[in-house]
Amino acid sequence: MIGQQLLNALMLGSNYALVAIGYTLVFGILNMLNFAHPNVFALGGFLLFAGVASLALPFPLAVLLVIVGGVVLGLATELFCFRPAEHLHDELAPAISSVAFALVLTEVVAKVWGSEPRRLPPLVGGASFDLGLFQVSTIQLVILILSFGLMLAVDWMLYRTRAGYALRAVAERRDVAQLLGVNVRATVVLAFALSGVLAALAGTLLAMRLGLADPNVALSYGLRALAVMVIGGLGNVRGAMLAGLLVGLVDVMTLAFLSQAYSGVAAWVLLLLVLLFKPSGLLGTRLQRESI
Amino acid sequence: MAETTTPLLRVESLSVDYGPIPALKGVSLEVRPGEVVTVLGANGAGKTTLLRTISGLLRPRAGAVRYDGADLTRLPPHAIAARRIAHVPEGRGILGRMTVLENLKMGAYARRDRDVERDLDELTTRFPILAERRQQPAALLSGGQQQMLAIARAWMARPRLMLLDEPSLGLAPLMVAEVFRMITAVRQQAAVLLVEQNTRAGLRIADRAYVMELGRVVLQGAADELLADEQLVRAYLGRRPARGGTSGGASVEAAAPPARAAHRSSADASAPPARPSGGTEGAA
Repeated sequence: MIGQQLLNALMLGSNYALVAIGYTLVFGILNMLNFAHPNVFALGGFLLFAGVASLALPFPLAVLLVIVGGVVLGLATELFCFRPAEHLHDELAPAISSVAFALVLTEVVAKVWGSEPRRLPPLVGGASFDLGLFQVSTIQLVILILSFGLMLAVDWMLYRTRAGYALRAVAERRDVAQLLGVNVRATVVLAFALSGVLAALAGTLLAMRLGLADPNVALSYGLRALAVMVIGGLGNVRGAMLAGLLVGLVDVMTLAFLSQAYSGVAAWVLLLLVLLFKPSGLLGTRLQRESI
Repeated sequence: MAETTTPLLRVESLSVDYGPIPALKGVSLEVRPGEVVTVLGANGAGKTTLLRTISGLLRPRAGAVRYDGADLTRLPPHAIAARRIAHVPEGRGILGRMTVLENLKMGAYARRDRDVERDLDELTTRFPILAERRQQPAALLSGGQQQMLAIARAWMARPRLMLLDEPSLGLAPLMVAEVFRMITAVRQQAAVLLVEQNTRAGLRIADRAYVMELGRVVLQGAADELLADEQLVRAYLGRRPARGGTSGGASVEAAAPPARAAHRSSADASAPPARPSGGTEGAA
């Protein structure tokens, strides 16, 4: 029983983490929130639905479709909402634009797929493995491997690759990064592309877990991931991962041992606690920015 | 002065504005290969603006920056860095959340060759403190160590020209000596354009120097000559835009040192770096 709950917590938590990483990448670099992010997340589920149900593609190809869709949506967000306001040095204009873009995406989903959840066809074989403590089905195993694989990949990219160094340098000191030879425009674009892919893939993974593509997850899960980002420490990717897993755990445990009524509240309660006792977040090490 | 070599860097009548306020008003200077050139001037003279314009962070209103025969004036900063101009900005520009080692690797970001690891080894052997603390966040280093790291990081770019903005600012005398020792080492590999508030140390290490005042070059010459006539140099350094009392007289000729000269030069005849903290350049 407890093992089964742990499994659920890992699936839910890694999902929160993936969405929160996407928020964090953009926030870390631009100090701005992308409110279209939860809608890209929800769209990820529908892209999977389009792939496996409407187009009857094999699962890997459907995932490829999701990845391409995520990149395109991330780049579109940058191009339509953030780049036009670049010269304004204003943090509100792009945020409002991204709200507008979020509304557009919501309407697109409603027009194309309707506003009700759509059931996915079975994706992989129904075999399940007994691991002593708990049983895990093939699809759960796939979800777990993909989720944690993605988290490790992001961490590896940030700390081991040239692009990752560029992202971290720009996030910390844009002007210094430029002096060291980093192309800031390219780095911002990369952050949005990554953010879009992570959101879309997280949406796909959630849809796989629920067995349906649901437009309402943008406001429930997607918004909770925003709290997850703050809990982890603004602009801190590892913090977002840790906080995601933590919120997932608390969420599942309240559902299992308290009441359905409290489901989804964990993120907000933890957010309040963090803001009260450690406002910089779990791994928040945001240093004082030097004035330029 | 007679032109012996073609300059590596040539700044031509550069004018830069901050909104409606002019910061540089037609500054010209040059740096030849292998040279150390110092730019002196009081707070607000435009020294930092000059360096930030050369490396592309600021766009000039008029004038040009030529480097190795190419026009850098409209290039973005990353393209200028790729031409092996390394800029150590005011306040060191350390990436405090990254480790010491990661900072050094960022120094080589613009490089495409395969010798980065070898250069890293060489640097860390030369500066054991950087090796010792390589896995620590750079923010944990002391101010002097951060300045060493900043110069070492710039050196990792294998620059042909290094721009140094007030490397001795806020450092204890021992660290100042160390930093100038590093600059002496750098000049074996690269030309240096150094902005300094420490007049004497700046002139001692330089081949030539320019003195700036209120966005203009008001004095230039061989460093040893200026060192011999330190009174004259200090005369310009002493005047500041806010309380100079001669704010209208911007077009001062080199032969007319203002009256505040004696007042300032008497104060720091001995220990050069020991400035009171509320001094001329601290608040930038």
